Amino acid sequence: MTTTVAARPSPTAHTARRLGAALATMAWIFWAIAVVAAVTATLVAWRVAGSVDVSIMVYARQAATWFPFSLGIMLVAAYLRVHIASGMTRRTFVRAALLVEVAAGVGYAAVFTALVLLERAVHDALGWGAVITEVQLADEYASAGAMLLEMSVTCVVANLSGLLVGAVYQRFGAWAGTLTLPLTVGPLVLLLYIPGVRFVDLPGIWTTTAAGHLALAVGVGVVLAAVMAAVFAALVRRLQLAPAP
Amino acid sequence: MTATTTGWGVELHGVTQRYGDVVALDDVALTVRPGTITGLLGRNGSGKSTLGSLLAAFRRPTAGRVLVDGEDPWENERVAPGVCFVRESGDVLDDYSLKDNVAYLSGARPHFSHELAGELLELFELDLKRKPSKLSRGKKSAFGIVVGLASRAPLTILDEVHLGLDAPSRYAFYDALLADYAEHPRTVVLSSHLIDEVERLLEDVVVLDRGRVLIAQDAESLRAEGVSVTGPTAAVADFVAGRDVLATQRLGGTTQTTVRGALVEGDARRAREAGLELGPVPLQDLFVHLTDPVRTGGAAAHAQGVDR
Repeated sequence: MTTTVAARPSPTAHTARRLGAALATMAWIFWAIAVVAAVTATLVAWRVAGSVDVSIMVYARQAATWFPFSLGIMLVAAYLRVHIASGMTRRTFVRAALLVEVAAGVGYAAVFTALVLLERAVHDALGWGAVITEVQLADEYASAGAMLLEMSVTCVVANLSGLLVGAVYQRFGAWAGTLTLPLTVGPLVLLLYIPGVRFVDLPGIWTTTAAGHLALAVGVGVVLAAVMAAVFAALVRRLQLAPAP
Repeated sequence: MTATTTGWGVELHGVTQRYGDVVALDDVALTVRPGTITGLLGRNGSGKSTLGSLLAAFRRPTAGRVLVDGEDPWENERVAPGVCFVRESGDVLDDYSLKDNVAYLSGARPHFSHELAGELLELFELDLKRKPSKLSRGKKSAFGIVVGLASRAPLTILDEVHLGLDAPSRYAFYDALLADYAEHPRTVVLSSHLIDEVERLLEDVVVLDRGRVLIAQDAESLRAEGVSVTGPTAAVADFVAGRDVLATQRLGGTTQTTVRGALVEGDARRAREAGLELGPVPLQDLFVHLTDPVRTGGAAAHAQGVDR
């Protein structure tokens, strides 16, 4: 005869709160350092050159991509085992991790966009330019929405890539985890550097953030994110914990 | 859905678990009665931890069926919160304080008792501000005990949770386990090498040996099956002839033989007439004799050195 146990809060929400709190703490530290570094670099450049006509803040794009990516790996390594040992299923961990990482990706993109726009306003007020030299579609004339959308897709794919790398390492071990990096990280690298073609004088399509081109980039990113999420879920749902922690 | 449970039963049907070439569990058939404290005994590498891992759905068996409260525990939303498997090193958030750990773990356990957790934290002198990664081995074990007992899971599996604990703390643990078990009956599977210490707690005993179930029965009848026969060598040899002899020790003309099998009517009288002394055998001695590689064979296979 089977018996039931008392109700408990949603395991997905419970773990999502824990993961969200962990990522939020790291995000505060990251953005505090990023802002201090950008302000310092701007001041130094101003003292040296008299004006700063490029966006310094935009250089945080790489760090804002790879830092949360590394947290995604850590998240699987540190929390999955504890989640299961606490009486919750892999299924709910997958939901919680995806929920939190997608939200974190959008959150990083929103902060990044806000800081770049703030910097642009400051530069405008000082009569400086704000040229974007970073490899991305959105240039200095791009709208806030375009920049947010492009960065959101990149950050979300980065976070999901981190989860995927973490899952492969957990499931198949160090060798397989390392050897499959081209597959697990490759899509992110592709997404990060494909926009670089706008610097090689190809016919105009890469030099604007016209809705069509942005939609294409976002579409590719969304497909990549969906595939990564599906593979991550499939890997984790069959993951067996090591005999001893 | 808040029905009170008195513990969940466990059934294993033809369960085999392999790690590559190593067979950790080999065609195991086993039943754990609901609402009992069952001792899971076995030498290192006998498959105890693997068995716990299967019950808690840490792993899926290579072959066979595992049933907890009548259902496969793998990815089972109903069963998962009711199974608490505490491993020797603990599955906790190493870089968060014990307070954060308790908050997280308790939120996932429907029957978690903060009151009991508080009492046990105090009993084991655990500082809620400390992180598990900064604790000594004994304190880590103590925290595992806090989690295991305070979760009050219908199926609680405690795997060598006493490691590193000093004797007073171990006895405090045994007392706490018994007291809470009496108030909140549930199924407890207790794996330990300290058989003489935990013997008094056990209602049932399962002995694993190289991945196979050697014994699965209630502790009382198992104890009754072990008899030591002491006396003149010839008389002892005559008395134990045809019985299951587990071990023999000789000192001069005196022999002490440990046999397994309940005494039948007339045995006591026959022994007395032959000048033999019959006595009980502690569970630990029985275990040692039963799992002696020389007796059970395959000592070489046993030395494969994996933590199972």
